[in-house]
Amino acid sequence: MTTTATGDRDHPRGASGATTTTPDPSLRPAPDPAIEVQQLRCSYGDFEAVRGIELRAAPGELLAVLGTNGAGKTTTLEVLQGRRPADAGHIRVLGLDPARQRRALAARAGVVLQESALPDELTPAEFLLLWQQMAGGGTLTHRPVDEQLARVDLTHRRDVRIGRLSGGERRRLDLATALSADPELLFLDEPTAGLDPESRADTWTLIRQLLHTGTTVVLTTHYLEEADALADRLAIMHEGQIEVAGTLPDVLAARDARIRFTLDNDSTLPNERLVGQATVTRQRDRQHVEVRTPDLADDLRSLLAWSQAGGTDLQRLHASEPTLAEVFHDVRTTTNAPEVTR
Amino acid sequence: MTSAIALARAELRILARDRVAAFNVVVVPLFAAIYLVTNPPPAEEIPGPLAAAGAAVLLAVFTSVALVLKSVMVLVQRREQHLLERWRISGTAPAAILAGTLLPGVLLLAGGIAVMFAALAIALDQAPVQPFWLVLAVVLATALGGTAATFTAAYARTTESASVVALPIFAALLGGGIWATLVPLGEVTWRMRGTGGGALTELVRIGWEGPTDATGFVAAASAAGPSLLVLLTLTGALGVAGTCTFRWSPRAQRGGWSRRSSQRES
Repeated sequence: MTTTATGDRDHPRGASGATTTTPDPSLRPAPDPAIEVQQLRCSYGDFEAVRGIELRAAPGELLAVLGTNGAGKTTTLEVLQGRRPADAGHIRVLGLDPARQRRALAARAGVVLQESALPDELTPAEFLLLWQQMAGGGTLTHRPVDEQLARVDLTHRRDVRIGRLSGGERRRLDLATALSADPELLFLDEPTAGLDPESRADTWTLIRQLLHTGTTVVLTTHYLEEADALADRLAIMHEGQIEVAGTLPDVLAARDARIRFTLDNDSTLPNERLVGQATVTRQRDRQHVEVRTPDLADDLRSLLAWSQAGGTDLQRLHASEPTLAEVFHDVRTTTNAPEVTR
Repeated sequence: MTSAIALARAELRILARDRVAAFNVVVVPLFAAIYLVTNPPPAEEIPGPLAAAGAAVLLAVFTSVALVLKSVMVLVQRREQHLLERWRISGTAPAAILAGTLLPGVLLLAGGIAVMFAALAIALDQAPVQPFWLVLAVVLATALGGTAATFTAAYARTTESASVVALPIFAALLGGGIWATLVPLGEVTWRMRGTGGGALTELVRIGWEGPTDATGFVAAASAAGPSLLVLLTLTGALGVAGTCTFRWSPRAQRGGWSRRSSQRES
């Protein structure tokens, strides 16, 4: 993954990219958040799965919730959907209390569960029809079944038993079900897990289309490039807490860029030539050097100047802006360090 | 109600597409009934209350096997398939989801037992004296079986373990039902009735044989009172226990829909 993936984020909307033509958006009152969570706590018996997290997403935004397995992502989503009671915290989803107004929320929110929840013995068409009769007590207006199937490219599998569908096709049917009544809010719990690259790209396109129409999306995923490509705002969870949160540019801007190279053993390090607050680390073999810097361009220029002036050969030079993968890795390694083992 | 009926129709369709299962649940009771009618035991070998005892045992078997065992397995399987979670997401009321999921089992019980009762009456030439109590016994059997299955499903982690976990309920309904056929109608004890199966047996016997010490509906109602009380109490207790313990997803703890989130849901 490279940082250029952010160039795919072509959905100007939400708090960070309004699409409206209103002369001065700053004069408008801020819209009520679609998701607002304060100090959410949730436990399984003695195990506290979610430990006082804060989340916020504006209407029309895509909030990506990332984290390791067991970080508390799915539990958080379950609370937001009203499927699990919170132990503590203030939670508002589309202005509703999910625990008290579960049915009202269900009528306005679509959900793709982490596990594909489909009856093998029914066909996609039969299942979507059943869902229409059940969702919202049969009172919601749904898209026609054939239109739903076409939307996720499953028309040709309309009358095949679901048990005979591939994993990717089942996932697409899950998505079609969630979109059945054109929800204002969509919860996607690892929606592209098991999909081939082409199907994943198609799903991303569909999600972008939904965002363009103002749908708010809460996405959990293990694919960082997915969050990189789609998210307006992200939160990285680890062991029940949010370690990093913000818009993607903000999160990346808060991290240092890296310059890596190898030197001959007897070469001295160029600390004094680097500006700003760069951290220079030389590994024990004295050959591999890593520079972490908040100002990549200046420090790289300084480094190259130092190299030229002294005739030092910077072998295998590699410079990169921070990536989401590095942020994620840092969250894991730093929180797995002393605090965790205490 | 619409959701429950839609779900029940889907469950019936699922059952119908399993050809072996569909054959067994429909054809086997029919074959048994036809065999019974065409091969009745010689009249001189039929003791007086045989039809009533046979009907009581049949109800116990159908309730424990066709309703409880099947329903527990269906509920656990639907939970493993995450379908119960799916239906909860739809906003459908918990009771409607359970009713829709369990309705096929109830229909199998009602249909199967109606066929067998008719066959028994024809084969033994012993029509029930007060059919109302038979109908009531079947209705209460479905209620008891449904709540027992819901309660039991909370404790069965996998489909494979469902039959073993349901064994105590199975034993109480079937064993208690047979137990209460071994004594004269007026000597059914509270302990027998307490199994649930014994109380159902007493109701069936009252419906088929009639009360022992008097005739008429009032006498029958008086005789059936203790069993009605036991069945309603057991059904209510299992219903409350089921709402407290039921699990909608495989990774959920037993908490039912009575926890804070759902008690107040609107």
